[in-house]
Amino acid sequence: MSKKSGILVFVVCLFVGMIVASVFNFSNIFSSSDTEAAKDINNGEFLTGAPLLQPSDHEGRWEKGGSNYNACLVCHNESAANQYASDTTVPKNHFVDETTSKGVAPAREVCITCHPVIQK
Amino acid sequence: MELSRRSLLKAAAVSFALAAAGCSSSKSSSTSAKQDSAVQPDEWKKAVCRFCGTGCGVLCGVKDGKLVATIGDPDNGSNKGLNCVKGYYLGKIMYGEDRLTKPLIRDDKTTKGSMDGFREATWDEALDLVAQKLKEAHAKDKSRIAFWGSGQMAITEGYIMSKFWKAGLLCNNIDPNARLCMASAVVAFMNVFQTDEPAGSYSDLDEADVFVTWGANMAEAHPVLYSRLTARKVSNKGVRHYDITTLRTRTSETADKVLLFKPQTDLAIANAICNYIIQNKLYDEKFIHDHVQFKAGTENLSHAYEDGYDASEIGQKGGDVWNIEFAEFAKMMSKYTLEYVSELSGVPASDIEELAKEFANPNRKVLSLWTMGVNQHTRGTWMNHNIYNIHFLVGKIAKPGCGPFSLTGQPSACGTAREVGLFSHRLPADLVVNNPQHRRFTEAVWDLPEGYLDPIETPGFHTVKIFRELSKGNIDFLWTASNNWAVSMPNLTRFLAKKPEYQGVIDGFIVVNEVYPTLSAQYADVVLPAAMWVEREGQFGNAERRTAVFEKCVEPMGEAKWDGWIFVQVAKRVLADVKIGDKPAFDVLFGFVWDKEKDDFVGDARKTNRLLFEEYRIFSNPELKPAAQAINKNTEGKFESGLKMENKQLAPYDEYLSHNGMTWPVREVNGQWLETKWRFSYGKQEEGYDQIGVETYGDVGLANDVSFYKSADKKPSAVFRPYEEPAESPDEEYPFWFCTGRFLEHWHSGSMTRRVPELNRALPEALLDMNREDCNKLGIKNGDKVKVISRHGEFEIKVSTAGRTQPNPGMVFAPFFAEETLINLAVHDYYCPLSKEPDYKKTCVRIEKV
Repeated sequence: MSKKSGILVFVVCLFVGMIVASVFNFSNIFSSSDTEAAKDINNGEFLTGAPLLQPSDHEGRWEKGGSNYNACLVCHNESAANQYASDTTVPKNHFVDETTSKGVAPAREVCITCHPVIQK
Repeated sequence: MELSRRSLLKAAAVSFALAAAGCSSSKSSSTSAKQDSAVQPDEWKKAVCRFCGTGCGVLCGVKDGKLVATIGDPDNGSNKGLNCVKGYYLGKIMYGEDRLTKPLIRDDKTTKGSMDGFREATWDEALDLVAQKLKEAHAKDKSRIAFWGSGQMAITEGYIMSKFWKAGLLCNNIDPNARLCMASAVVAFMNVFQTDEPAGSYSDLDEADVFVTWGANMAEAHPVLYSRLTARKVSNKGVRHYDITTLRTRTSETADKVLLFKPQTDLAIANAICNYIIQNKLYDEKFIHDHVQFKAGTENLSHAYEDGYDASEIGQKGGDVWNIEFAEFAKMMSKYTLEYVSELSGVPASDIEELAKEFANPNRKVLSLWTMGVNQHTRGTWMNHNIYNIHFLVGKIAKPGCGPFSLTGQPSACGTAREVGLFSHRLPADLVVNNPQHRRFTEAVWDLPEGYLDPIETPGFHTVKIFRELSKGNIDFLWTASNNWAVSMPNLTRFLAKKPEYQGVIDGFIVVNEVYPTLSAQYADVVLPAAMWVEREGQFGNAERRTAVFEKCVEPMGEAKWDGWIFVQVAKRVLADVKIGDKPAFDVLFGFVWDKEKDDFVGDARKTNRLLFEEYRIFSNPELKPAAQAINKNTEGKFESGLKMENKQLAPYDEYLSHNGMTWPVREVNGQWLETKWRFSYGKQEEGYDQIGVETYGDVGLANDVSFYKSADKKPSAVFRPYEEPAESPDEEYPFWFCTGRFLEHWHSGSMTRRVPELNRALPEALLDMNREDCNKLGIKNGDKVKVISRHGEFEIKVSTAGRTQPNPGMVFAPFFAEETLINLAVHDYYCPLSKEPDYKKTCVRIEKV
C-alpha cells in the first residue's frame, strides 16, 4: 500500500471512529486506561530519556498505517496532539535539525523500533 | 542528522521541561508530573549497549549511586545517538527484584532444576569449593573439565580466562556461546580470507544502492542498523531492498522483492546468482585475476546425527579444500541454472535473475547483510562462502556502500570471543592452537617458556560436544559465565536430563556466574553473583570492528563481584602449586595485575582494565615486545613466513575512551590514532581506508584499489560449495518446518529484558506464529494452546495468527526468550560440520492441539 493511500485509509478510519464514538457517547474516544498504563508502568518509575510505549488500543495501527510514521504523526503532531493524543507530541529531537517543518529524521522513521505496543 | 552530545542532553532536558509545562489538558498532569519527577542525573558516563552486535554507544546518567538514564551516545560512530527500545531501557536491567547478590551453594544434587536447595555462602567458601572441584577434576583428566564463555563477556574478562584456561590449565575445553551464533561466519572468514571479521563499516548502510538481507530479520534483531537501511532507502530513489527469507518478517516490509525460499535452498540461490554472472560473462575479470583463487572442497558431508561424527572419516575430511581453475569452478556452478534453482527453492526465476543483474551491474553498490539465517545452518560455513563467491565474481567488496557484511549477533562476539580467541581451537588475535608458530608467538607475549603451549596443540571440545559429553556424564566440572545455556542450547531434552540415559547435567559439578535466578542457575552446584553491565568497567567489540569501553557507573549489587575478579580468585587457588618454568604460574600469568597483599587487583577498575588491555594489545602491536616481534617478522627464518599480526591493530586503551570507540585496525599516524573503516581498501588512512595495512603488507595498484594482504598469496578463496539437503525434511510424521529466533523487545533468553516492566509488557509471551490455512486445517484458532513435537522433544505454546512473522503453509516460528516456553526442548542439535554451529532454523515438527 502506498504512503498516500495508507494515510487516507487511516484518516477515514479516524472519522468513522469519531462518528461511532459520538453515537456511543464516549467522552473522549482516545482515552483508555491503557493510555495511562503506557505512562505509569512500574509504579511510575519513569526512566529519564526512555521512549513511552504505545497503549494497547494502538495494536495494529503501525501496520494499518502502512508501517509508516506519517500515520502516527496525524495525531502526534504539535497542533493535533493537544486534542487527540494528550501530551505525546513527537519531541523536537526526532526531527531533522530539530525543526518540525523539516520532517522526521530518516533514521527515526521506524517508530516501533523504540515505541512498541503494550500487549493486553 | 548530526547531533552533538551537548545538544542531545539539552534537547532531552528541554523536552521534559516542555512536557512538564503541560502543553495540553489537565489529563496530562499525571504524565507531566511523571516526567517532571524524571530524575536528572548528576553525571553522564560512556557505555556500550548490553545487547546486540550493533554495539550502540550509550550515555549512562547516574545519580546517588543509581542508573537513572540510558540514552544514545551521539559521539559513538556506530549508532550516532540512537538506540532501540531495549537500549533505552538499559537503565532498568540491573534492578530486577530477584537480582542475585550472594554466592549460593547446592549441597544436594537431586534438588537441581530449581532454586530450592541453595544455601547462601561466603565468597571464601564458594571460591574454595569451586577451586577445589576444578583442581581435582583437572588433575584427574583434563578432557573432563570445560569452561563455556560468551560473546557477552567483556574483552578483559575473556583475556583473563584465556590465560587461565589455556596457559594456566593447559586445556582447550573452552568455547563460547558465540559458537552458536557466529562460528559459521568465523570459519568461513578464515577459509576465505585467512583473517576474521568484515572488511566494511556501518557507513556502508548509508551509501548502498542495493540491500540484500539473507535470512536476516534486521528490523527486529539489528534495529538501529535497520533504521539506517530504511533511512537510506527512503531518502534516495532507486535504492532497492531484496529480502531473501524463509518467512515474511518486519524486515520484509521495506523490501521491494521478498524471495521466499524453501529452507536450505539459500545455498542454491547464491549459486544460481554466481552461475548467471558466469554464463552471461558479467564477472569482473580484472578483479578475479588480481584477487581471487578458486577452490573446491569435500562434499557429501551428511550430518552430525551421531556423537562420533567429528571423529569419523567424513568428519575429519569435511574441511579439506584444494585449488581448481576458474573453468572448473564455472563448470561446477553450471548445474545451478535459474530453472533448476527456481524449482528447488520455490523462488521465481525472474526474481533470482533480477537480483543477479543488480549484483552484476557495475554502477550499483550492493550490500549483503546476514546473521543467524545463514550461520545457524547445517551448511552455515558453506552459505557464508557462497555469498562471498558472488561478491568476488563482481568485485564488490571493501568499498564504501558495497560488500558482504557478516553482521554479528552478540555485543562482543567479535571483541571477546573471536578476537581474544575463547574457542576450543584458538589463541588470541586469530591465532590457532595447532600452529607451532602461533604457539611460539603467544608464548613470547605471555612470557612462557618456549614450547610451553605444545600440550594444547590439539583442539578441545566445541560447544555441542561439551554438552553432549556432559549429558553422558563425561564432564566432571563445567563453569559458565554471561550466558544461559539451559535456555539457549538446542536439544534441551537431552542436555537437561529429561531422558534417563542423559543425566550428566545432574551429576556434573556446575558453576554458573549469574545475575538472576535463570534456568542455568537452577542446574548449578554453585552460583556466583556477578557484577552486571556497568557495575564494572569493560569493553565490547561490535560487528563493525569497533572496540569501545563501557565505564563503571555504579557499584555491584549486594556482594556481586566482577567476573574478572572471580576468575583470578579461582586461578589463584587452583594454580597455587603450579609452576611455569621456575616461577609460580599465577605470578607469570597475573602478577602484573594482582596485588597479593590486598588480595585484589592492583588498581581501580580503570587502571586494572588498562593494564590487561595493554598486555592484550601486544598481540596486534608486536613491536612492543621484541621476542614477539621476532616471531611476527620471522626474523630467524624458523617458519615459512611472518604473521602480519598488525592486521588487527588495537590502539592504546585511553584512545577508546576519548574517541568513544574505534574500529580496528587502528594506526598511529603523526602521533594520532586513526581508525580503519574499510579493511584492505587503499586510500587515505585519515579517511578510513587501510592505507598503512596495504602499504606495509599488500600491493598498491591492483583492481579496485584493494589488496587482501592477509590472505594466502594475497588472494582470498572462492570455494565452490554445493546445495546439500538439510538434516531433517518435513514428512508425514513431522510435516512442519520449525524456525526460531528473536524479536525486538527481548534479548536472547530474556533473563535481563523480561525484568524490565516496559519490555515485558510489550512482549509478555512467546507465541507460535502459524499460517492461517494451516490453523484451519488443524482446527486451531488464534490463542489456542498446542504441543509442538519433534524427534527430539516437545513443548507447549499458544498459537498466534497476528502476523508478527508471516510463515507460509508448512512453516512455524517461535522466539526463544521465554523460559516457561522452552522451545529448545524440541530443536535439534545437528551442526555445520565445518563450524560446529547448530541449526536452530530447520527442525521438523508436528503440531497437536492441546
